[in-house]
Amino acid sequence: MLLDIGFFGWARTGTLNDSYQYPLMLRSREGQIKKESGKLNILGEVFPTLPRTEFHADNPTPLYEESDNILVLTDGTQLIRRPRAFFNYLMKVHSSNKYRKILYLPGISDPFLIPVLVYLGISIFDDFQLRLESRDGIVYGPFGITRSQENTETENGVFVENSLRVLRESIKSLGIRNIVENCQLSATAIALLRMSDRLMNTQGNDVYPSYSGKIFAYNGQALNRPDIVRYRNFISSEYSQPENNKLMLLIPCSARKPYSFSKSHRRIIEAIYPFRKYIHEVIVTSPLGIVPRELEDMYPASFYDVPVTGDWSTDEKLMINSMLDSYIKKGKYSGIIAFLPREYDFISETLEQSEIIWGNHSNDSDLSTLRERLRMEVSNLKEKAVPSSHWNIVSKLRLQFGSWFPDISKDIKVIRSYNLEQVLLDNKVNFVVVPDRGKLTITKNAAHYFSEAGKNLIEIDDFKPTSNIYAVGITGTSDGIRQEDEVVIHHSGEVRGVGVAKMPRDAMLSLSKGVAVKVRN
Amino acid sequence: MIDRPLSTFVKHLMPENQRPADNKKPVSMWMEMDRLNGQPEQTCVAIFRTTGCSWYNFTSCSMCGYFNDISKTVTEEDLMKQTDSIVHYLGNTRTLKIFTSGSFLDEIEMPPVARDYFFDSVHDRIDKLLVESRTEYVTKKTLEPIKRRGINARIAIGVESTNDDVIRKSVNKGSSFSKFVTAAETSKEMGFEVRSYLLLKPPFLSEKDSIEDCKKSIEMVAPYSTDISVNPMNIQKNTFVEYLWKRGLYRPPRLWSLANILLWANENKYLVVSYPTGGNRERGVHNDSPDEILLDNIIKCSLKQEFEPLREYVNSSDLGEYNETVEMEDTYPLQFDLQKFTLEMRSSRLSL
Repeated sequence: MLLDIGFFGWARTGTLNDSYQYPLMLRSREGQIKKESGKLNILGEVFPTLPRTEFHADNPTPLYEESDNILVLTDGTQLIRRPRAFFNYLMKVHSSNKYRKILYLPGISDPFLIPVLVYLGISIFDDFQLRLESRDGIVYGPFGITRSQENTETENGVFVENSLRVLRESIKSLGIRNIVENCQLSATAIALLRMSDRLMNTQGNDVYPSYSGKIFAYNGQALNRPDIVRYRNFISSEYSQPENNKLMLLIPCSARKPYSFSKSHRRIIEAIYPFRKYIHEVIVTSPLGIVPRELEDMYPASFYDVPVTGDWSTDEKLMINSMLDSYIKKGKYSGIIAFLPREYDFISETLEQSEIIWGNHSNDSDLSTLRERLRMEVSNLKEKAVPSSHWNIVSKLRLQFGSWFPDISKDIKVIRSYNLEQVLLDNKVNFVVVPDRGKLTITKNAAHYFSEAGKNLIEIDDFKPTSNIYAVGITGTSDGIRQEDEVVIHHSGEVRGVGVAKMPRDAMLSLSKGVAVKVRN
Repeated sequence: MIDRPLSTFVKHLMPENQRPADNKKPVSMWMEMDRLNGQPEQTCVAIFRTTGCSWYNFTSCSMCGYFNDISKTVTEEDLMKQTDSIVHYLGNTRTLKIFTSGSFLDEIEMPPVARDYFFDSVHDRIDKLLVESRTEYVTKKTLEPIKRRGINARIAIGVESTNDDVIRKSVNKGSSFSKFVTAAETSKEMGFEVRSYLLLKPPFLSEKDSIEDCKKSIEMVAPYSTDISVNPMNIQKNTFVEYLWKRGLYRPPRLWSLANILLWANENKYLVVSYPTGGNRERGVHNDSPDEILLDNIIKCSLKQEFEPLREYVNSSDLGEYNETVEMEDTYPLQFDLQKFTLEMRSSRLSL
């Protein structure tokens, strides 16, 4: 029996048969993996078809062999040094398994490889490799491997167990991506992550959660994080800017998030204050590319941390230029003005039709140049400016739920209560802006938007949901639901509540145990 | 009796075209030591180039790569020319072992005209002849021409394992233990000796299981055999075993395992020899590191049937790691070569 208590995409943590917390490493000396009467026995579960004693001809072998709760990835070990083949093999296994059982990849105990494998959905490893390496005096350590004259099995065992404990925690806290991306001590692991990002970003990444807390974008691979790519794709292809602001002002990012809380942005805002309602402020940054001001307090814009040096990598320059180019082509701005420090000069080619004021927020004369330039530009505008706060809510809703979300800017009222922005329609609270999570939560009053669009819907058996909905209670979901999405809970067309998805869609549909939705009342 | 998916798969691994070869010359000839007459002596070995084993029309044994040496255009005249070469090479040596890329007693592979020419050419030059054959060709009819000429012969049969499951699922031999028994009894009845070949570590067996399988097979073939030759796996080109090995799904047996079997056989009074092909090499029987002394002991003790030097060497060695590895391997879900894999993976990690 599997009881999952946390997911992150394919990664999962929980308890097997009330006894073993996964992800885990099988200890062969303790008989956690053994051969009994010619059959393989893992944690008490018997595999009728293992050890493999015959050839399987179907292309070239079955994907896996299984016991009650465990799948053995019989082809995985030989494929691991071919990242694309390994990833595709694993995806075949996932799409056939759909979280029913946990996956065991034999022959791996390398603590530098295990994190990415856990991230890709492997839950069981074994200690054979560890025993072989320890015999040779290989020492696993936080910075890589060293060597010893002694047999290092005990200390290596502790190291791997500790790593697995942290990984289990990181799945629950949604932080595993940060570990995998930033603890890079194995070429094989790095290759697997890169390949996984590339293929996930081209083949679809619905399994990746819609929220994962703080993003530590400390190296180049952050550019390819599925949630960041998802964000950039939205901005490039689905985002539409507010109709009423015709002048685009391009400004640099800041270390502090949201940007407008930073000293640099406060000074810029102060300088342009009288004209702000005529302007759509757009921030240039990496790894997100472009952040329209109204999305700065949403996920992922207010959740990433990057090392700031003023230097941009080739990949970053390429990404920003291409994103800016498509953004400008798509946009309907009457004019574009950029106020940027010199280290942004790599975008001048993309901005050749626009006016660039090279300047710095700390320089008063640069700021007054900007202000005077805007004064002139704004006086040329014929249309009357409309406050954009209502549009901003629509923009946030579209980022979070998709561009299908209707334009309700004319109908809503925004009030502040308990220091939170609440979005009212017909005097009923429909949405609450929650900056801590970079999202808007929905209330039952907003359920009809989702019912009508057929989005973010969970269908349950006939019961009154209270705090948690377990997977067994779920009878169906709409397409595209991701872990951490806001969802509307239905039974036979009747709204029964709202909440947050806590597992990937496939898991909700095929598992019986585990919390699938946290209900909010 | 056969595993059809395995047979089909093995067939598709076999090359369709043969390498160009001189049909008039044997594949190979050499002198070596063996003990076909009760003590070590110089023995001439020759491999006829033939049209190949009848089994090749359908499939091949999982470890057999002799199909790489066959020639579909070999004629009776070619085989007689090859006989002339062998006779010339034999010189004064009085013991001759004849291999083909299949069965010497198969009248399609070795047509009666050529076969009789061979017998007539060697019968007064040798004291002992060893020929190899699949069980189905060991019949009174095929043995009669040898008997008629009064040739003292030992019929060598590849039993490989007496476990029919292993024969079917691992060796793909299309044979069985009972077919061996019939062939061996026929040989005996006709007055010939029998050498039984056993294969150490067929695919899919752990090293531990393969040792057990080999010992069990020794016990079972011994009553029908003059002597028993244990052949540890040697990975030949284009074979099924090579296919597995290249994917890291097979590791040849260790020399320690072979020594274990020979010492056990000796203690139990079985006449067992082993002259490994490819010993201490990556594709042959080898320990984690090469051990020339051990290999040398295995061959010399086999020849003399005097095993004290091997026993002493084994007893004075530390087999801790070997035992641990063999135990671990026995619990692997698949017979992958984890040591090789681990070594190959080691270089791609940050190390100080």
